[in-house]
Amino acid sequence: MKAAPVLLVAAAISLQAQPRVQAFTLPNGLRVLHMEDHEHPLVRARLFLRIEPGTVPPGRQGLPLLFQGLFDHAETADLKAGELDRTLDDSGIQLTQSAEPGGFSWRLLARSREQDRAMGLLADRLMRTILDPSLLQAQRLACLRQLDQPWESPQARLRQTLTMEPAARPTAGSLGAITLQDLLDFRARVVRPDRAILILHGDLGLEQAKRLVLLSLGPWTAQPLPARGLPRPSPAAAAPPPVPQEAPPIPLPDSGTLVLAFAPRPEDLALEPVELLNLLVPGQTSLLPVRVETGEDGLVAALDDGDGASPRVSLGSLLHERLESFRRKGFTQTDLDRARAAWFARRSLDSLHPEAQMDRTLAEALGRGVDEGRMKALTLSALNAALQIWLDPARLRIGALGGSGGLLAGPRP
Amino acid sequence: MRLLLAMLATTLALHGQMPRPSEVQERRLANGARLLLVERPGLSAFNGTLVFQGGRAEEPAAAVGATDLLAEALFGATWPEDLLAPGKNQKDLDALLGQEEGLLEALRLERLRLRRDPAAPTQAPALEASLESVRSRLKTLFSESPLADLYTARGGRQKAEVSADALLVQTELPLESFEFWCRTEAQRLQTLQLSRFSQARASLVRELRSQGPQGMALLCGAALPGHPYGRELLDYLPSLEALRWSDLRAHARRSLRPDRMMIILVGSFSMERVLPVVERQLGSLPSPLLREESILPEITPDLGDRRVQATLGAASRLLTGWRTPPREHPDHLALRMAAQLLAGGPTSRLQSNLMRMKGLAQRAQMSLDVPGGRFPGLLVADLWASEGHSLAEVEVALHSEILRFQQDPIPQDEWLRALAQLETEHLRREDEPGALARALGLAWAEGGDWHLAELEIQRLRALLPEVVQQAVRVWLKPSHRTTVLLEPTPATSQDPVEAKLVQVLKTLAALRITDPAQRERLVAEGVRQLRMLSVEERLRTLTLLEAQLAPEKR
Repeated sequence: MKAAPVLLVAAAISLQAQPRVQAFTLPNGLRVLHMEDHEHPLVRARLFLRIEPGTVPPGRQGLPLLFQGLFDHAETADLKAGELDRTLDDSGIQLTQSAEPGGFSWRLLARSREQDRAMGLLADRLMRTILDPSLLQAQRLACLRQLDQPWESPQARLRQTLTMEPAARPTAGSLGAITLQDLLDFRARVVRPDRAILILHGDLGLEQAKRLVLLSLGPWTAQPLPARGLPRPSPAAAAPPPVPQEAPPIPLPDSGTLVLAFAPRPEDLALEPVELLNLLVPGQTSLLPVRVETGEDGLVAALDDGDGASPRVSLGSLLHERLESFRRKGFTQTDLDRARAAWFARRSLDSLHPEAQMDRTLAEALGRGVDEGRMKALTLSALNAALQIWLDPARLRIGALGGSGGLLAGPRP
Repeated sequence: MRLLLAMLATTLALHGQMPRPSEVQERRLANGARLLLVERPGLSAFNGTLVFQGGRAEEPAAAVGATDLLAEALFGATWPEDLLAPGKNQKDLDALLGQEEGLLEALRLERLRLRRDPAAPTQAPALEASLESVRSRLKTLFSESPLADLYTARGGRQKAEVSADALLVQTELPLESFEFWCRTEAQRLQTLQLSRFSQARASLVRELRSQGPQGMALLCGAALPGHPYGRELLDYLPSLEALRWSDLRAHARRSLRPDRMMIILVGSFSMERVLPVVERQLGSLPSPLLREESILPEITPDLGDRRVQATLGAASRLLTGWRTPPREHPDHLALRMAAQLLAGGPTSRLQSNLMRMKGLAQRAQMSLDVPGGRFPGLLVADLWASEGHSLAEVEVALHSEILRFQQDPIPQDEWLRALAQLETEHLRREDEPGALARALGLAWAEGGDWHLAELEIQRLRALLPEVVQQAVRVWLKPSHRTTVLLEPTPATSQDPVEAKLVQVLKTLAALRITDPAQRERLVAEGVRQLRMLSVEERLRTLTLLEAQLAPEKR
């Protein structure tokens, strides 16, 4: 009961410090969320394009990645690829594109005097990009290299391998099966104003923002959806690739052995318990010597032996055992109350990070925001049930660096 | 009148468009610590940054890695047991940590002894059992709550960053926790409890081992020989493993002193509010009577053109470093601009010509002040060869770009482009409290003056292309240059010559030095020096070294 007033005060303070979000929608369906902040002559923009489930046909794993690569290197009707870079650099505009869970994001950062040009260039990129089929093969190779990440440390590579949904993991075969028509269809389904959300943050007023967006992205119209259905998978690609529970081993420069387990965040879990588990799980001392951290995609547990003396299978078993006993034990009411208070207090930290404010606004616009009412009402049983689901051993993906032998040879605890 | 109003409005509008430096207020505390405050009205949280001058470069040879270990053991988390007031509990904790230290050291020596003579009778199991028992007792003093970290429980977070010149600790907390932060940090620095020392040390050793040798460290070692800037932490793993809890506490007392500390606050509060609190807490930390200054060897830029070839990593990579002046030097800013022009964006010279037009490289980056900026450091060009192209081709192309830079005038559009990028980056930094605090802290730690960060953009605007070109002629010349050519590691084994050299050096060292940690350190330093030689020279050295061994030991 004592926690309630504290939570209310913390929530009120955190809300007070954020720039107010004002929303409007263009006639073409583009939703715009505007956050005014005149502290510095700087404007940030984030354009998010949703990829609806089912947009990627079976057997075409890697389609979003290949599309992103091709789109990024393509010319537009008005500007060649090099010219776009030059115009951006001339104006000191930073434009980056990235693939995120459930969609693509374009991030813009510009001095406020360059805001018209910056939005114009983003619009040009979105509306007038010409996909060049001659780049397709080079981009397929670039995608494979990007997936392999030879420049990353072995740990990072293993982590990346485990994080990716096995059934969605692109292969040379699936990338090779993607045709230009697949990419054009994908573009027609995804790059459309009614699937997009634009967030503007910084040194521009609401009326200025409306004018700017209307001028630059007002003419953006959705292409007609492809008449034909999703492409049929080729016979070779039709059968889904086998789902490896155990990732192929990656050599480690030293003689030690490291076992990593990844528990993807279940999509059906409510956000409120997930947020609290993100705070509670990494500090759990009962998991030691297993180290745990959580991220946007899921939870990573790591265990190593330092000298490589322990066989992989025993490290794997110990890791499973610790996770399972922790999962069974769960949390107490005190843990829940403290985590909830910490979560409400942490909201205020967003005021220090403009990008975090935009992240939160986007999540709320996508319906992925945390509801404060539901957070206050969250019960201990709901929290522990979420933990049970998240750490379900059947969902774990496990891999090893160094050492020898299999990981799953013995019976699982 | 209308004209006047219009002019006034235009002036105000233009003023609004110009980047304004943050208003930084500075105070000096009684114990010598510096306080900087950047007022940001409207923020509901604050950023509190502690910067300790020194960093890796000031570690004594016997304590290499101590700053990284402090970042992990002292600032990695905020445990309640590390902030115990003097009393029985703290005495118990100290006693147990002392016992743990003794057992860990005995176990380390026992394991080294066993490595030399595996058949000898051993005390290791008994020592391990004693250690386990001490750790169980220690565990009873540790909090087991999943939100035991005091900052996490208040919605905050803390991270520590180590550079060659500084240890920088950034904390973000809700505004109402400001006094708590001051009190906690003062207590942390007063107590220096380091209760999780052994876990932190094991974690750091594990991380270094798994990373393996790094190309950039190889370059620094070859380009800055004999200077702490040239050390590779990985070469000092045995020393790090031998570093004890009490050694680290002693090192912390020497290096985390108030007279070498800057406190930077960014948040919605005034100097009137923060100064009394800071003065009462962090200002009361005892100041040493004598200010100790480390004396470090000089770095001569003209060491001659050096080359190192190695097999490392997963890609063909060319690392070229030129010895450049420290941050306080007048030419430093010109070199900053040169780096921007050469590799500052997709249209910079290296990215445009070597990557896109010629297709020689798949990556091109440039960094100044590697590994630090307090002493002469390096300007490094990092180029990854594209498939089908050799490092020799990439190297020739790089040299011709540098030559072109030195000889041809810099076009104005290119100059303005680089300036625009730097200006945006400067504004972004001003807009993000953490980035601003970091920039101010590093400017002080590296250049001795935090104003360097604030004035940089104005000074860059006042710079002339001819000055940049002249600086490139002076500093980016062959006699200042070190080149590291990295070819991918064969999947099977490491360089056989190097493996043999390590074996011979170890045998030779064992004949002369009894302390294993010292011996390992000597071997590591020897290997680092040998890597600077060509393959032929390495083979000759190997033959000479082998000749010093008795035939049965070869």
